[in-house]
Amino acid sequence: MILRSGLALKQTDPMADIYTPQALSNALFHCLPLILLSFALTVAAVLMSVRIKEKPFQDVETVRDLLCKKIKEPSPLIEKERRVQRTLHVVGWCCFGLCMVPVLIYLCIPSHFAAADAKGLSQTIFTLLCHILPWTLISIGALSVCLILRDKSILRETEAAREIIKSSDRQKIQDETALKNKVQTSENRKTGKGVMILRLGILLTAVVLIVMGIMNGSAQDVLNKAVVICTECIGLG
Amino acid sequence: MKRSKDIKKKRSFKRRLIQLYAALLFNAHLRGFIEGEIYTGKTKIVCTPGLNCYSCPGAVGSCPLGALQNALAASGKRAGFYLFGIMLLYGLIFGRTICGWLCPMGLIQELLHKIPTFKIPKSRVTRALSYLKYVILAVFVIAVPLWYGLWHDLPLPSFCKYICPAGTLEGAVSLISNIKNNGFYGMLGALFTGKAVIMLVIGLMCVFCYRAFCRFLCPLGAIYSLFNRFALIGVKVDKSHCSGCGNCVRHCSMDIRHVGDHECIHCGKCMDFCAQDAISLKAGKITLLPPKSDLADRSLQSGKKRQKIKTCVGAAALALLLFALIWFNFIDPAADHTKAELSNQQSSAVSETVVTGYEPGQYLADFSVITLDQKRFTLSEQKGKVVFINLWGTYCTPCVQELPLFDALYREHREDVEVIAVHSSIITEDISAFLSDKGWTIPFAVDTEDDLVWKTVGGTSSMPQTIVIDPDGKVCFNRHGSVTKELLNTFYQQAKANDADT
Repeated sequence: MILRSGLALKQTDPMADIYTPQALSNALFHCLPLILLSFALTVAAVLMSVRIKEKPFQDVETVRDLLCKKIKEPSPLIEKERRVQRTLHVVGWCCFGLCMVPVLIYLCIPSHFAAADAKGLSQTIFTLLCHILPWTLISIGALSVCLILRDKSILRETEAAREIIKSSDRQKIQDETALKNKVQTSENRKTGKGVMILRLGILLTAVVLIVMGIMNGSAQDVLNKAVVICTECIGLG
Repeated sequence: MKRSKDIKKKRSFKRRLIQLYAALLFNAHLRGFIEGEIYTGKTKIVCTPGLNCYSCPGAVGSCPLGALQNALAASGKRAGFYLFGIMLLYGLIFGRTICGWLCPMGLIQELLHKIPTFKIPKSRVTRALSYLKYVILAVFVIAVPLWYGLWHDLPLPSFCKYICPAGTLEGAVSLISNIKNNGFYGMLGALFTGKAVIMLVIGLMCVFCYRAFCRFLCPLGAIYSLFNRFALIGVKVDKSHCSGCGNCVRHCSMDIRHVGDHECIHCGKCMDFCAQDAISLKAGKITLLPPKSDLADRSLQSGKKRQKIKTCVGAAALALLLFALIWFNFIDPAADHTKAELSNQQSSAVSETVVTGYEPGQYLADFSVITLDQKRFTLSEQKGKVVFINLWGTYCTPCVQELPLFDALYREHREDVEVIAVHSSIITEDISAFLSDKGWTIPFAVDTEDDLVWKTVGGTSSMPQTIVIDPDGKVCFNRHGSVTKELLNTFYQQAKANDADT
């Protein structure tokens, strides 16, 4: 509303400001009841120790993992569901990747970023959004669908695992679990060393880059940019 | 049961305290909110770990995301080694612990989430949506600034400019809500409207959805998430105690698949729900926050030692904060913003009839600068012409974009218009080389080291700024923000009309 009336005024008088303190105060005044209500509700909720109980997330994977740990030999139904899950996992990520390809192609064409003046820039960014937004939404949608279908498959696998456990020999299940835990401990030691080496490598790289940055002036660039108000960065302009 | 509830309360209170402490430390320049000016001291060479806009009046450090975009935009001139090194260091040490404990935007989101409404639970859809922040990182933080920097030599921090709610809230709202910055209202337009709408939508999302910006949109979180698996500080699971019950994942508000993965912000909430007490917050081998059973079973001796260490660390942190508040508000010369005002007061009321200054209606004090082609530009020698003084910088996108407009005006009205484009004393590259292929005819100069021109015309840390002097030497307009062709023509017409009236 303020923008529309401001732009109309600017047509007749280029010197006129679109936003004035009075216009903003009026707009804020209209929103004030809602802001005060939210604040009052929050304070009341805190004082009355109201806890918003969020439903725990139904993590089907963990339940499946717990059950499948106890099984020595998975049944054909479980194998089939695992294949379905692997396929869905691959398909989901392939869809995501494929949808990102047009985005990458668009980004790599220099002519899409030809305009450098103020009006042209806004047009360029708008066009960029129009091109990449649909593909991004499709990729996330496809990934969501694959994840949901994978959940359903995991639920079926869990049911099948439960059936096996009900009918299986108890002794065999416990021994297998102990064996799997031992294997995990030795694997942990190996990953621990690898992580240490990676950390040291990154630390050395970081220190070298920082020193190089101070020497080549990129540190000074950070300071120079930070001591000037970037008016467009904060929406002024 | 009661004891574990107490431990849970203490833990969440500690985290909130640390978040508030970090927000205050990163924005210690409190007088900036009162004076409406940003801090311009040397500590801004250091990036804050979390998202904290450097145009916030209180900010004493740089925003890593803004600095990254500027470094990429300047890739054609020099590689941004410093920034890459800083991000590697923060990622290695903290990972996404920054998001959970140190980010002021994270704190704001959690406070908004406290508003009692229905809450959108996490699901597979929110998990898929959490990958959106990587797309935003790739497009708006990396690709667009890089391409415009390499192909057009134009610094364009596109995430900051078009999306970032931290800049709108901490920068724009903080600055324009100060009466001293009424001049900024002229700069508000479609861009501000768009950004304000984005900020409000994100704010609303955070009310209904836990940390909506952090989970779905924040590119800084996306960068730190790449380091989460091997970051030094973070929530770790003791696999020997873990029964794999999944309580941690079930009760976590973030879209994790297991504790410590790329979505985990290491807030420690899972520690309260782990029945096996297998989760603790660690810094390498040092336990920062032990599981609740350790707290209960600890021996008296180790408890006393731990308490001593906590007291020392707490005292050191408090001392640091107090020092920062005193230094950035009272001692540091860079925090003194009264100098610019003084220059106006000193130069005003030279005579009873002639008032000099930089406000409209006042006569601008005379100054002289050497242009880049070694000629002297003296303001008093331009009497009889309309003078346009433009304050700009090569690193300022809107400044560079409006220079062709001044050039066009200068070419059209050469006989009765004089233009001088004065570059800030803060120089990041060879200005002559920057201008060499532009073909502009307007005179360019660089301000002196003591900011002579800036102080004379009332320049601030905000660019661009345009000052229009009528042929009599009186200031007609002194305006922050970019100009349009129509606006420049209007300035010219009105300056001529002013002169005709007198």
